[in-house]
Amino acid sequence: MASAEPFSEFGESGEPASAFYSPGVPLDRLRPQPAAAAPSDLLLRMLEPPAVRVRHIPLVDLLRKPYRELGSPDR
Amino acid sequence: MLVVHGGWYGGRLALWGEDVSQDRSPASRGRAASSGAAPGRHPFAASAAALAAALGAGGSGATGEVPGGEGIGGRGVLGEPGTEGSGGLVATVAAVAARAEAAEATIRLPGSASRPLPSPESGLTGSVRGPRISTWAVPVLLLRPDAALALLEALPQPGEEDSGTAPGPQEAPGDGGGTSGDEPGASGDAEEASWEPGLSLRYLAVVAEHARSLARRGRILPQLVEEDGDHAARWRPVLIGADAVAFRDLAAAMPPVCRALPGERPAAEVLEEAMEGLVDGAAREALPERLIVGNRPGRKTALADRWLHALTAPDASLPGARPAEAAALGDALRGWSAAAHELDGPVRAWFRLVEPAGEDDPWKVEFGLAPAVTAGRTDDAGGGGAGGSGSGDADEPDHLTAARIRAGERASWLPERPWEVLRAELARAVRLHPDLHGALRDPEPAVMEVDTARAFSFLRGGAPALAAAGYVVRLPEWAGRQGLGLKLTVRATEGRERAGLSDRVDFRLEAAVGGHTIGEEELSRLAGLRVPLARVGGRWVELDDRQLKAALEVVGRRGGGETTLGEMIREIAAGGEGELPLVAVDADGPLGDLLSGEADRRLTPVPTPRALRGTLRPYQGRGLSWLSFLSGLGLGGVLADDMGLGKTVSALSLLLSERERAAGDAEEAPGPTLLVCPMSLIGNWRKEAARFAPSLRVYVHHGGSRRRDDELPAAVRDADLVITTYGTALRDLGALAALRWERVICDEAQAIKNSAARQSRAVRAIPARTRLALTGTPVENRLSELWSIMEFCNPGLLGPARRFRERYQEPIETRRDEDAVAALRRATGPFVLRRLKTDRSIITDLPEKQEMKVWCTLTPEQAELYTAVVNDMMGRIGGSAGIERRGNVLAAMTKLKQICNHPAHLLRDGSRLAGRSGKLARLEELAGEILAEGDSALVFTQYAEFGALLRPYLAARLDRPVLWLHGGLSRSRREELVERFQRGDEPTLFLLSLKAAGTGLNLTAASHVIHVDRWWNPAVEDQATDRAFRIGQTRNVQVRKFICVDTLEERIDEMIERKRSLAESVVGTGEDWISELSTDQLRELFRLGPGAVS
Repeated sequence: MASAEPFSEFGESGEPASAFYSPGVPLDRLRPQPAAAAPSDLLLRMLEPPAVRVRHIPLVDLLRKPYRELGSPDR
Repeated sequence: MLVVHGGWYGGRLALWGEDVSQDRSPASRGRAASSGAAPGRHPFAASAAALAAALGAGGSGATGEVPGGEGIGGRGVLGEPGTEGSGGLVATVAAVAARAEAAEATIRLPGSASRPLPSPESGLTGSVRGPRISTWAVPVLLLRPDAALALLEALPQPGEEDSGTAPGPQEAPGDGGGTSGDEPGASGDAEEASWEPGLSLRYLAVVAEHARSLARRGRILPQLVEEDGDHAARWRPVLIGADAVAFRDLAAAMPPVCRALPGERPAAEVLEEAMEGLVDGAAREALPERLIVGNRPGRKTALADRWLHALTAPDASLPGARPAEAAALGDALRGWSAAAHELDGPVRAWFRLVEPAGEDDPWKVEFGLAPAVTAGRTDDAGGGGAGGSGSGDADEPDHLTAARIRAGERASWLPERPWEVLRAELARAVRLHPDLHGALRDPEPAVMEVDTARAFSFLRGGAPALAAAGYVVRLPEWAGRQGLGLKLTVRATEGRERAGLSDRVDFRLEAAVGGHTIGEEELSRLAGLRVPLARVGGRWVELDDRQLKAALEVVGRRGGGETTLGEMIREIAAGGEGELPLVAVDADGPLGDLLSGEADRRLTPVPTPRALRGTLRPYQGRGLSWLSFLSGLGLGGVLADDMGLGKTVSALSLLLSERERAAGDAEEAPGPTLLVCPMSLIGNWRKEAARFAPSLRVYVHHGGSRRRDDELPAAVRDADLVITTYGTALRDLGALAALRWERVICDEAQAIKNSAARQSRAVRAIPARTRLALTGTPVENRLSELWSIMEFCNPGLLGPARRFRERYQEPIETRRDEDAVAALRRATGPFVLRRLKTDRSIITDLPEKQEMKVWCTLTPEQAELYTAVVNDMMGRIGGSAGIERRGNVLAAMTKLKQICNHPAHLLRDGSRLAGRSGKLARLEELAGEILAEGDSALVFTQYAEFGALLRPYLAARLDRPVLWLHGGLSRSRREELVERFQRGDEPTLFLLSLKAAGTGLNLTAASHVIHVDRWWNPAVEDQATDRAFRIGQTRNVQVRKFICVDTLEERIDEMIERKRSLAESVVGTGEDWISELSTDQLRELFRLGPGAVS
């Protein structure tokens, strides 16, 4: 049964009950694919920083180091 | 046993369960809500307390029965974790479940007015003509995102087991987890299987994987959101590029049951809510420390300060925020997030780095545009022209360079004002790679000339960042490939009849790029270059300063000399030294044979053992030579031939061969081999050993009657082959590890693919002179599985897991690095022999149709039922005559065959299927292996009701399509199924009723046929087999017939084999001939032998 299909249409095309409980495709196909290595602060670098300061420090400056550490194996 | 399902509601993971033991239809009936009425109770839903208890959270504090209403009802906090179980999944789940709140929710499910249809994982039966959707009340446990993350991450993958701690259904029946209590006398560490995750929960675990991946890659931004009338600081995902595609795929594939709580909801809405909650949880977990030091902000502190603090605090809420301040902060952050999503435009900039045409020419970076569907990857420059299909139209170019756009070329995806788009894209790209700034001076930027230093900067810094940001980046084919490494040359000093690890060899170690060796002088020159990009041996190479220094040091320290063969094998397996990978090996002698990739062909042939009752096929003989060679060196190996190629007979031949070589010399006589296998294979090993190697003394160490204490060493001493299960090896580790073993063999070695699992650690802890792993799938999902299996075979040889991950796993899994693939093949090649049934040389060795018997054992429950039916039916048969007797005999046979299939087949009580039938366990394993190899299979049963039980169960367990063709289907539906199967879109299991599908159909998409129960009429079985083995079949077909050991199935099979010609004439009418046997003959035929149960 397609995910967009209303429940009221369930069973109309003869699908078994298991279709209600099962994903539309095998779960292995839905798993995240390994991504090419990229710096984890990439988003901060790509975007114009917001006009937000905390204690007079630009927000992006406060976030840069923690973002870089997101990608480290220790995290 | 509970099947636990998951949904997402109110910002939390909602768990609810089906209690399989509660469902005894038709008694277990409820009444769904009629319009406007309060919903009825789900008749076999687990109470909140039972759910909490099953998950290990105790449950004393659960409120359980809270009156239902719309959505989520009343709540109560559960008690502290229960004491049962410790470590691993059990401990994680128990700790998480203890943080859950109990409540009651409404859910929409298909079924009748009195009973919802059960999930396929429950194994319960139920069918309704024209099911309707009704509302039911179910008790739920609600978990906050942080706890939900922990639970979802701890779920085992399908087929994975963490013996003793994982939920039972991952265990083979009665093995390890004791799901069927197969060993009444076993010590008390066999845990009762109490729950298993349903597919909806497994689906949410995949969503959690995505959430963690987004957080790890920094694809998140902090936001100020409104929650329950207040403000809160939350991390939100940024879904652009491939992540947006993944989100759409996840929403499209969501199991409907996930969006049925507390009523029907759109999948995207449920997924968005779940993803947001899980991303916030994952980000907080990854960022446990405060983002700014100093005083903790109070209520009067500026909102931005409080907000920043709340992003990493346990409490995300920001009560009492001033509206104007909240609006300003919220607007700024929302604008930031919106800008991130604007990056996901339909057309992206395209970049290509072009190397200099001549020595004095510059490098170039070319620009262009490409449709977003091809964006987000680096690629080699190959071709560089139009090609591929960005927009799905084969005639459409997948990119246009600026030069081609200027020349007037167009594509449907190209925007009206391409130069504006390109300049806007370049302006954003400058933020990632400032060197591109110069290109913006040109109103129509097409190309930028750069020197070698800037080319290197683009290669190393710009390209990966731009590609990760969704731009299309093309690099020369050598980019990112291995640069400098080591070449090892090994020469045998003296020819020897039998090689040994201590043999002396000469070696030489040189720096190399690919196959080109570099002398010390050239190394020094390269180390002095200003820019680490140089032409070496006719190709451009990215050099690394650390590698150059390391190469100078290594070559200077140990350029060559003499060492042992064993040391060289270790060196090759290690794959290099420090920063320098081993990029080439040139060896002769035994090492050359091992590394050649054709070791089995080049090694001295070992004669087929005289004691083998059978003939080895040519490739099996070569496999024996390889096994003997490695064993002689004291090395372990992985025999990873495709299923059906005879790994069992190869291993038995090795045992016979080494005994014949010792031939009466007590000093040389090898000690016993310990074979560890899934419980479902014990019967098969025992039968195959008896058939092919009857001279081997076999002791099966399994079950309640197995030898203990002082008896065990004596039993092992008197055996050549000791067969045990992974579960028993874990339980009896102390006793088994105290004995001397010639060899430990792990069959179906994917069982030890998780190196941290207790059973993997257990088999590694049993000392042996040498080890062997047998598996058809050495790598199912991750390369770490190969490391785990190799670590069993040759402990320490591949180095620690972390080094393996850095050197091989990450480059291969994330970049598909071909050099790393080659290096891994070189490192593991000597120890892995894998032949595929599609190899040309193997095909010629194999018959076109290969028939095998699969020996299965009964679970104790099956055996008990079997004995009871035999006693009852023999009484009836003895007291009847004529037609009545004949009817009783046939009824007895039918019942016994049903029991051999599954207790639920006989009882028809809709009870669960998992863990109660040896045959089903074997079918599940085999089917999994067939599908993993990319093949499809036909599975015949003569019982339509058994097929109906199997279909949903196997579909859920294998996570693959399972078709079911039986006599109750219309002709058009049958044709539809056959057509779908023959289309071969993906590996599929096709269950067929022998009667409905035994003739006429053309099912050549299958290369495997399984007869799960027997008709005992060879002609009927052959006709069914010929659905796959017929004109149009291009592959060899493997046919397997399931037989339960020491039951009527084995005895009738023996009778047919003994008198095949007679049988073909006598049994040609089916099974009627059995009713003509005398009562004594029938008693002997039906008798349950001692080998039936394991």
